[in-house]
Amino acid sequence: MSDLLTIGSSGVTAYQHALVTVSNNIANVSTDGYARQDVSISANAPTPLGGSYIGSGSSFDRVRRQYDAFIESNLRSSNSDLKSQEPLLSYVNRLIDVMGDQNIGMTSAMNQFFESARSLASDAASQVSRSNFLRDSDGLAARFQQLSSQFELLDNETHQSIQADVGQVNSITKQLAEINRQLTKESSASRQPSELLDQRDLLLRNLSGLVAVKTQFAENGSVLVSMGDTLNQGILVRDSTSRDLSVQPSAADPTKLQFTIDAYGTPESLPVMTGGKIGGTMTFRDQVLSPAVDSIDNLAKSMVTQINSIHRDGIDAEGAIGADLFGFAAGQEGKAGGVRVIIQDSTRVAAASQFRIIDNPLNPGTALARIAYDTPQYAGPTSLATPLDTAQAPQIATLNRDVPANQGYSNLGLVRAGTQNLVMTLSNPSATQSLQVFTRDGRQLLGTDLSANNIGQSIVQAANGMEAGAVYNTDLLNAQPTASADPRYLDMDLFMGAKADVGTEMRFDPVTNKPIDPLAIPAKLTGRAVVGTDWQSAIAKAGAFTLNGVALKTPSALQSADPSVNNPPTDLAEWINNQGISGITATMENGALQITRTNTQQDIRLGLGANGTGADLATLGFDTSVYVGGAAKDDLLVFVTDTAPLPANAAPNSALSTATVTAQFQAVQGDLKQMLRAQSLQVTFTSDNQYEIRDKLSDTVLATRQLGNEAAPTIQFRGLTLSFSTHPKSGDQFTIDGNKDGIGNNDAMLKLVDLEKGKVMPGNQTMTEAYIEQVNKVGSVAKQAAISKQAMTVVNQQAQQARDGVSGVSLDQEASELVRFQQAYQANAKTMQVASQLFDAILQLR
Amino acid sequence: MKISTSFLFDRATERMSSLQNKLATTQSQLSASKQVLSPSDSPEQAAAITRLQGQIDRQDSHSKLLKTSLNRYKAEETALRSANDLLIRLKELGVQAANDALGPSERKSVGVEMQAIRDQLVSLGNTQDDSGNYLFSGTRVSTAAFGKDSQGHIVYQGDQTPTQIPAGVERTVQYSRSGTDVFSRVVRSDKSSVGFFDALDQMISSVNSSNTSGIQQGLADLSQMHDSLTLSQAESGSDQNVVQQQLDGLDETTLRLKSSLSDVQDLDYTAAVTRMNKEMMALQAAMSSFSKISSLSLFQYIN
Repeated sequence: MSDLLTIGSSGVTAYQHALVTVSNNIANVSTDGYARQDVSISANAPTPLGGSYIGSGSSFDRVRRQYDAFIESNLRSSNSDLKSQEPLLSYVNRLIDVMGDQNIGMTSAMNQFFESARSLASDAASQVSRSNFLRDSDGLAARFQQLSSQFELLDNETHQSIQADVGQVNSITKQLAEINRQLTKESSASRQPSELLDQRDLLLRNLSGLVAVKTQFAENGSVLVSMGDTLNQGILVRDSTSRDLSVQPSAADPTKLQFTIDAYGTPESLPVMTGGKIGGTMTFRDQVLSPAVDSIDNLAKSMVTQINSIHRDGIDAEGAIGADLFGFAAGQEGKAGGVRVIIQDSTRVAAASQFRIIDNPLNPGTALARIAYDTPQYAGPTSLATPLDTAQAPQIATLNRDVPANQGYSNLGLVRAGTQNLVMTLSNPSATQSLQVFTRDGRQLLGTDLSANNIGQSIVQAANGMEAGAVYNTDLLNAQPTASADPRYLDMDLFMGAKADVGTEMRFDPVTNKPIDPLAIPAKLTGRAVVGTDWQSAIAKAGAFTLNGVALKTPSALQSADPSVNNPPTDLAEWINNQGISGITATMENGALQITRTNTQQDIRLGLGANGTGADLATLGFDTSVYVGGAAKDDLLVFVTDTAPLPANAAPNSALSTATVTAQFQAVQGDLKQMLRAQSLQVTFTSDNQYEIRDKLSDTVLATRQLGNEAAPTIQFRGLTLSFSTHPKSGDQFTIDGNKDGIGNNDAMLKLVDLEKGKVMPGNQTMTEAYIEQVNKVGSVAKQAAISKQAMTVVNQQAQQARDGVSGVSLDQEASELVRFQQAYQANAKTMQVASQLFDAILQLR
Repeated sequence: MKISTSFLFDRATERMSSLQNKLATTQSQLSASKQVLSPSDSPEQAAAITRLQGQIDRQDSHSKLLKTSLNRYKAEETALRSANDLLIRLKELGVQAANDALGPSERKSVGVEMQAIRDQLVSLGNTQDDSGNYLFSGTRVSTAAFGKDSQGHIVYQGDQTPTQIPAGVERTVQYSRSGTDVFSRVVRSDKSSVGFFDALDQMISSVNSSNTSGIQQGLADLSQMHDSLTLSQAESGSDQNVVQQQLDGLDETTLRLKSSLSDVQDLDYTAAVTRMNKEMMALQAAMSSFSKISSLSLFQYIN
């Protein structure tokens, strides 16, 4: 009704509510997340009077919450961004403090290690320098461990911080679900209590500081919160239900963390975490800490491998070859935290090199020699031709090889030094086929003389595995020991022909049935059944055969010595027995020649003389084989040759003939380098430009070569490089040995010192440079994060300011509102007073 | 746009505390006289600082090593100089003995002195350095360089492997001379080689038995021996020079590196003090303006 009193009282009530709201704002000036409340007062419906309407006052409509959803969501996302930079920056700074520190970082430990290597190099014999070196090696290992444990600390800390934050996320989402439930009471957001909505927004803002979230608001103000790429993936809160987030080490890689939503219900895994404190910590873990750990591990692995390979190449104070200096603890292979020093005894530190060269003090020349060793790289074969290289006892292998028509020989491969008891057989050789055995210096050891048709020269070339400067030489061809001298190459037991060894028979003790020493059986050489009469022409050739080193005489020679002898002899056994060689008897068994020893110590060797060929031996019923007794003391190259005249226009790849080769050997033991060390080699200059290399122990000449005219020449031999300071003179002599007692020698330590400058890390960097580059990477991330944080702070402050501009409480504004509403209230109260005075006037009418 | 009260206060406090942080940093820089207190202060420089420090350490260690090796060179130099003096004396005695006017008994007394000098030369050949290593044994440093065999001849027991030591980046220096290079063999006119001490022994026995042709041969031998000894002295001297030059070069390099490091790491006091004053002024202004502005409130004027 439109009367003065009603209107006045409606105004009073309305402005009373307004004053309450303003005082609420003032009381909540510092409340976190509070959105300022404004009053909305509307006019009441007018009543009709006569031809127009008269107003009927005002009433308090509702409280309006000052809120802008867009500004609010802006603030949330800038909060996420800022909060993600903070942990990243602080952890990265900690990491770089650790890596760049003098006492924890790697550079000072590495420098100290190489410094003591240098001082050991200047006094290699000193025990004090050696124990200092071991102590600094220990220091290096300890520093790796320290650094690695600092990394582990950061890893654990970040893991724990993430777990705590995940717990916080879960508690916030639970509270949001509860608020959503309370919001269902009303159907429109404008009717919801402001405080409830304020709480919802505060929770959302805190959540965004932990992870970046996407939100969607329903009509009634309830919110859908999700964490995934789109709004429907990774939902955390929907209506009144919340889903828990959890974090575990990933199954594929235990160093990485994996996030799952609702792990115990319907699990949903999240691929990557961005934004918020959790995202920032994860970025640190994945992009800074993990690569730093990997790079330190790689540095440790490289360092250990490189140092060990140099150390193993050296000799320690007792003349033994160096062992590994560094190793990894069990279970920590390849990790920086597992680096340990293996050697504890300072005499085991290897400072000296494995080879030494000594100038003879009486040398007429003034050349000083230095020696170095490097694994030799020869052209040509690196093992026997397949399948012969698989013929390790008890296997036997056979190869059919064509002898090319343009060459007259075929390379059967390399017998490596250390191969034991090799037997190689040429089956059914033609009259012109034979096996040949050479050293790498062109010295022919077994076979037939090849100088006539230049096959020898064409075999001795670098492509076949020969040393540079090698020359075809037959001095030692088929050399056998005599009573006075042993001219054999390195005293190796080499034989070509047919051989039978002393046999053994197992014996058992008749009482205990246990095996006792085997019985030695005399050697027995048995051939195949002799066919036809070719053997007669074979044995009639002078100088065709030898038996146990003795040349076998032809039947005619036997007859001229003793006329009672048959010529031709009735069978081979008679021919052999007529030779009058002691210690053997020959018989024919089923048409085959059998030669037996009369003692049980020596073997039987039926070999070829200067005029004998494999084909001749075949007519006697025996295959021609190459035998290497014991271990080969040098690399041997084996060829099969055919000395038949080569056709004039041979088509390429056509074969002169085919050879069938069978081989077997026992183990390969030892390597060429250690054999070289065990020998004592002497290099003598027979003229100013010609020199020979001789093995002192067996007094064999190993090589004869020419030297060029350069001022500071070098010589290569099986991987050894001799360099001379000036050109040696005729008569100069140099001895090479395995340096067993030169403990002042520091060559190995010098190589270790060079490792400091060696570009052994990927990207052509030294080890120190690789470490510093890693520090640099971390440093630039830190710089970047600092800049990002500054930028994010500014953006966040702008967003904050915008929000406060809309929803914040300003006391001055509230004060003026207070005054305004107070005056309005007073004015309305005055209206009521006037209404009552007017009524009094009516009441006083009498 | 309005500023809410809480925003006003928050912002003011934030600004004041960041100014205080800056001031505190400047103060610790001043007291430590370093611009970069820990690597995180200047992460982009952290790698450069580590590298420079490493290089300085390396140069220092090279210097230390070379200084120690100079001692050994000095020991070698002393031994060689004494040997030189002794050889000169031997030459004088040889000339004296070659004088026909001398009688056999006088020659014998010359021979006695020559024998004593020869023994002294052997013991010089067996000089040891401070660590007890024999200087002239090559790499057999625990064995004396010259010893006596069963017939009383002097034999060389060392080897000839030359030792080098690292003297800087990519630089090594010859460190040992073998006894047979210093006391080296003589090559006679008939192309035969005779060892140093064997030739001396032959000369002494010629003097004792007044064998003039032997004495003449001995004089010729002596001048060859003297030449090769002076050559060794020259080589030792030049190696020493190389080491000294290396040391000087290292000193210069270290100085240069240290000044680079100081540019990066050390504090520029003038700039720092100015900065500190500026920051203090800024802080004072912030504080006093805050107190004035925060006391303004509409409530004070409404009564």
